[in-house]
Amino acid sequence: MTKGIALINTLIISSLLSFLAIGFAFIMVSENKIAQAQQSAVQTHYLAEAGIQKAIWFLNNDWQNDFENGVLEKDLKLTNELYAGDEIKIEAKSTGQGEAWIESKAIYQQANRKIRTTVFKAMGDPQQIETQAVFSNNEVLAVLSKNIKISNDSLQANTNLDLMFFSKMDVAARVAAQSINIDVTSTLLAEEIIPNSPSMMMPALDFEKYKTKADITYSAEEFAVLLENNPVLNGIIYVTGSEYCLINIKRKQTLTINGFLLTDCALHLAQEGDFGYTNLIINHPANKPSGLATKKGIVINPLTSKINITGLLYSLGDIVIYGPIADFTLKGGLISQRLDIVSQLERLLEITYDEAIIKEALGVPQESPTIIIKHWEEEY
Amino acid sequence: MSLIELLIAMFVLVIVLTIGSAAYFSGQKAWQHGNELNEITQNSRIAIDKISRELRQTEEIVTAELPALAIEFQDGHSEEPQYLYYYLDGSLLKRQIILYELDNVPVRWNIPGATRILQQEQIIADNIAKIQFSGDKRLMQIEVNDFSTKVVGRNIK
Repeated sequence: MTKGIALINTLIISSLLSFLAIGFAFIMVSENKIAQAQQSAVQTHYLAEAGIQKAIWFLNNDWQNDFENGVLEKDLKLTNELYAGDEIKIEAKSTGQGEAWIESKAIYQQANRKIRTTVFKAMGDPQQIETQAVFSNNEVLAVLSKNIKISNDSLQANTNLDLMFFSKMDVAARVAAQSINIDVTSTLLAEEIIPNSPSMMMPALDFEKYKTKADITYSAEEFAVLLENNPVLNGIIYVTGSEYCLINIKRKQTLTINGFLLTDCALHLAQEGDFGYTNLIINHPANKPSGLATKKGIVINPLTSKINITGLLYSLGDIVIYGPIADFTLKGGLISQRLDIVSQLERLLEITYDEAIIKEALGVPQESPTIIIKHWEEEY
Repeated sequence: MSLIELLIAMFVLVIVLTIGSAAYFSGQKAWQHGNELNEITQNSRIAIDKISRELRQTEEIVTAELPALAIEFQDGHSEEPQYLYYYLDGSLLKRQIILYELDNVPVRWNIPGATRILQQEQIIADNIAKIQFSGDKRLMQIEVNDFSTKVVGRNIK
């Protein structure tokens, strides 16, 4: 009777174990597939990014005329760019002169990734267009800033001018914007207020030209070290960096420039550091360009005590001022993608127009100026 | 069959059964452990994927100091200013949509007098023991469980 029991036991145990093994193998196979999909998803994402960069290259080369004239409409399909069997579909359309919308869709090993961007190139010829004290390619927004004074000249916002929450802006000459919104607590004083005004082109500044003729060029890392000693720099200073680099003028640091500081990076003031104040002083040497120009945004934070600039304040990104800044004076002009002034309270923020200083800084752009990515969005 | 033979047979049977069941249970334990690991891995992947994609397209990070265990930043997809807040609730990773309103109009988070309103909350992942955000706001390091990645904010000012 008991003679076959060992065989039966063995069969039962080994079949249980083999069920486990088979199940485990199935799970491992599907896990492996998931891991592979994960890997190809990352590769596909960067393929889509590569598509955007390729389109920007085309905007600077083959598609340049259409892009600058605002008539660009392209569909492009690239295959086997980085991996066998990959596919990138690029669609680019003008949204204005020197402005375009680009979509890049990448497909690789069943993964799909889509990136949409809007790109922009400042194209106004500074020698031909009329300069202003303040120019914003998009919005100008003031919130809780009761003493904004624009002396000597005008303000132009290509989209909105919004004054909110007890703000007051006093402009010596003309205020022009597509739409002007002033809430009941705010005031706008100007010689002439022009709503529904047509857009103007953002004056171009040739960063590349300045890079070649800079007196000193630093990398963002070198410049960060330099800032620790509250430097005084003379001439044309160019700070290079990757597309996503950042210059941090920290609290307790003072930077003085007798000339022009230009950078590929974004610039933040008083964002980090010990308790203390940040100061930025830019002086204008006779007959030489002066000011501050960035390819990315400028953010000025509350613990900034002094901003005294005699020169051009230029940003291809947004300029955001979070006040209160005790002493803010700008003599020359301001040109940016967008301008926000928040919580400056009763402190004076004065921008005094000086055409000669602006024109001296803008110079004559020769080579095609920089294309910047204004907005980035992804979809899966 | 003598008693000795029976005892030996039973002894052998007990040994065989013990070894067999030990092998079976350890196999089952390994299976369970593998499953749990898979679960953790999948959840971490989902979390890290979603957060890094949303951070890439954000315009502004609200969370003031890094490193932080939770993060709030502007939603890069919406036209009106809208914010996303990721935090860990026990082992659940949750995502909130936040609005800041001034006179019922959505405004940016740092506009004086704006009220913070929770619009929506959802669970993104389970089995998360640790989440941390470090580095700087443009190049941020995200750690979820044992996974980590670095993300560059493409729209950050």
